[in-house]
Amino acid sequence: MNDLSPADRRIVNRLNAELSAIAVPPRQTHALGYQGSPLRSFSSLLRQLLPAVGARRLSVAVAVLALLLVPVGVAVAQGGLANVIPVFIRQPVEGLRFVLSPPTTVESDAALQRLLSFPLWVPSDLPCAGPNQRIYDAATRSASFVYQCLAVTERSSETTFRPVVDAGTLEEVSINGLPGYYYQTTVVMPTTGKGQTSATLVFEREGTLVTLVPLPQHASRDAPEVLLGKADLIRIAASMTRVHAQ
Amino acid sequence: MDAQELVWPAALNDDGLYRRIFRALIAVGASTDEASDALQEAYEQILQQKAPPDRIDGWLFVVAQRRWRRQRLRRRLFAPLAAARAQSVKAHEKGTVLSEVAKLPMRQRQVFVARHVLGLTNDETARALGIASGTVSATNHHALQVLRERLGGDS
Repeated sequence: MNDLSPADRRIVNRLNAELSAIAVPPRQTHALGYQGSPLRSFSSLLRQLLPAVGARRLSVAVAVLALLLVPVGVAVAQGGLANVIPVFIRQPVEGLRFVLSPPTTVESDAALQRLLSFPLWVPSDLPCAGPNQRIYDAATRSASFVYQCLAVTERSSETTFRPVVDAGTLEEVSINGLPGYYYQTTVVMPTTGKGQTSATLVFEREGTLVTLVPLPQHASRDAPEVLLGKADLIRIAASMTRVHAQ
Repeated sequence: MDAQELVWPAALNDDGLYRRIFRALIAVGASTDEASDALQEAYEQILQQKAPPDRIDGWLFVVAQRRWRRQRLRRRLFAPLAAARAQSVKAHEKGTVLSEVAKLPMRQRQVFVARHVLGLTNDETARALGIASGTVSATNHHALQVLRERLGGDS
């Protein structure tokens, strides 16, 4: 702290003053008594609500709400109100339009980095050639690298990303001590009606959400083979290095 | 049970320590709810340690930060859409040092906060984050340089 210049000291003092103005919630010392923040604790909200409103009034309110909602639920379950409450899609959707914006192909890693506001990462330990393509998608503000055996997609970790995950496949893994998720996704091809399963490793690194998807190798036309397994993806993720814009 | 075992958990009752690490977590980018949850989990974890770490504050900061990043990634990926959108809303006002610190890369944020909010030395920061002391010094220097440039004369 003593080696700071006056300008740096002013910055640090300002930061600590701003932090001091933030109210620290009271600490709950006993681990078992901790109910979690409102973010993840609904039961504590109920416990606060109960004495404030009164058990009798609360039960009357719940009963009235149930009386109102049960007929709606029954109607929806029987297929009524299908146009009013879009809960279940019973028929194939027709007339849905996709607006495709053509992605831009970029010549170098540095050029791709210059288009993005988040740091770009590339694998340094990959058992195949590439990248064959570097793509910038302005619509999603994401970047993709297509290697011979792997597709890498990167976007800002501030954006929302909600993958469809096959039941029971989600697994938390550790990449250099940081968390990542490995899961599988099955897509039914509309042309053949066959399901195609692919694996994904997703992790965050310094403000970037990175997804790695192994690509099948078409050794023969009928039996494409995926060469990269979970351990390979984790090793590749650990080897990723930052791209510099220069 | 020796004297050290009796004394070191008592250090965890220091509310000042709790507040300092809570604010350090806010400075690296956690919301108040996320900081509460992550810090509580770090306290639970430190109670399972047999011996005190070198610097309790450094240890708690690093572990709580790891917990927070894991929670944040999980929420971003799997929380309902509305909740995820609410999560991405920046809490800090523009023009504050906090908002500028939030724009730094994660490693610079970690080092800067460990040095200047927690008050760890270069060597203590290096041990807590598992990096070289020279890297701490260079990263801290770079973070300060960026903040000086961005905050200009009004700092």
